[in-house]
Amino acid sequence: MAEVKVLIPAVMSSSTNGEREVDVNGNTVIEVIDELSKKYGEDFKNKVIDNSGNLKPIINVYVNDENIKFLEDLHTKLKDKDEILFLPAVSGG
Amino acid sequence: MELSDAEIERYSRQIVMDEIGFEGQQKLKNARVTVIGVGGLGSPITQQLVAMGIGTVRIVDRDVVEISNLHRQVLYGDEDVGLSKAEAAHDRLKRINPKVMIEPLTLSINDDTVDEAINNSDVVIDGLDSVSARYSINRACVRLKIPYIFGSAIVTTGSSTSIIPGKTPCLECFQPALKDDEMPKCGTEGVHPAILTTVSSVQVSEAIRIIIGKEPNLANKLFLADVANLDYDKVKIIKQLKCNVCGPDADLTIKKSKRKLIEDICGREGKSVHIISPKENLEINLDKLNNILENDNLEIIRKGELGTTLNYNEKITVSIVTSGVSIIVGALEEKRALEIFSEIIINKLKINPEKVHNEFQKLLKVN
Repeated sequence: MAEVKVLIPAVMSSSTNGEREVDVNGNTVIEVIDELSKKYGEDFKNKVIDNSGNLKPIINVYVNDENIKFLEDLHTKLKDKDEILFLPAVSGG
Repeated sequence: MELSDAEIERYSRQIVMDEIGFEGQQKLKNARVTVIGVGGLGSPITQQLVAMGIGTVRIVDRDVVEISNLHRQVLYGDEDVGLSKAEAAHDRLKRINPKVMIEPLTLSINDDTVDEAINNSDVVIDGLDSVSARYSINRACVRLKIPYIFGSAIVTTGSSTSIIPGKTPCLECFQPALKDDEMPKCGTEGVHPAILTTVSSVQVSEAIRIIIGKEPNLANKLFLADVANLDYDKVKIIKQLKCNVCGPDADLTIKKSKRKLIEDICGREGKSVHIISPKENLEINLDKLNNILENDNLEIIRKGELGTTLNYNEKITVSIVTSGVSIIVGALEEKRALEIFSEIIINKLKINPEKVHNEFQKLLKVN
């Protein structure tokens, strides 16, 4: 299992008990999300994954600064020391 | 243009600051800033820009003022309900600072109209509420190399960044592939006025820095804020090599998107709302329109310089702004909204339907 660092912006940190930086294990982005859900509860998963099991459109996930929408989405492979950033898109105005 | 003595006095509290200074104030006077959308974000943005003495502020909005806007859209009051926002904003902003040139446009923003909205701007500021319109602005600003200050807000959260073409990530680098019908809407989710003033102030300070030649603070950074718990962040964002707007393989030729002629947006005061956006600026002659409507015994409830609102019948109201954008409230189906638009704009005003949509008659039948 790859050991990766997850970065959570303050506006999403209510889903991670206020934690902004978390070390977890996972070989793909979806495995990391599953790990985070085990750690923080289903609330985290519900925030980022829709009912069909896809990443919610308003959530962007970056692996080492690259948006996974330009990679292999939730199945983007990870390696040790990768940094995963969750970034919500804010609409409206 | 030099600053007059009266202007030096008027702006003295910002001229005295290092952040702006005398030369900075002169640059503000010689600048043209376009604000797209004068709603929740655009109201405080334009208030600040105009009070600060930007030379020309162009305001672009297709909408009309509604009662449910007034808790947050601080440019407007009860007396403006039913008026075109561009017109009501123009009148209010002129009262704030008569020396500033205000250019109101009633355009609906899409790939067909965006160049007319932003041309000759030094900076474009986002006061929009739709993803597709933001993407149109982003693409055009990258193509025309105009700095674009993105801003958005919903419920208690907001975000902003400064997009400098060729230097920073563009909107589709950090928020790609969004669709309006998948996004939460202010109409259903709500929006806290305090997040709007927070984000709009950040946008204004970024625009001012760009105009006076300073590095924007949000180049390559996304500002995120939540007023529910006062969480603030600046998150690093990076240009995406595979971005189809600003990446190395991007095609920057003008693309005419297959946009919808008619949008069914979430209800206002419990009624269905359809917005019809012609592909061209129809430059409606409102005097002619009002005469025709009155001759047909239709009750005009609001007559403005940039738009007219009428009671089509007991259940349906129609607002028509000078660009031809028509907002039909109370029609239960798209077909009915298109029929009403066709009756007034095509039949009564004798506008060529090709100017509205290449296949307008076909759409009318299909619906």
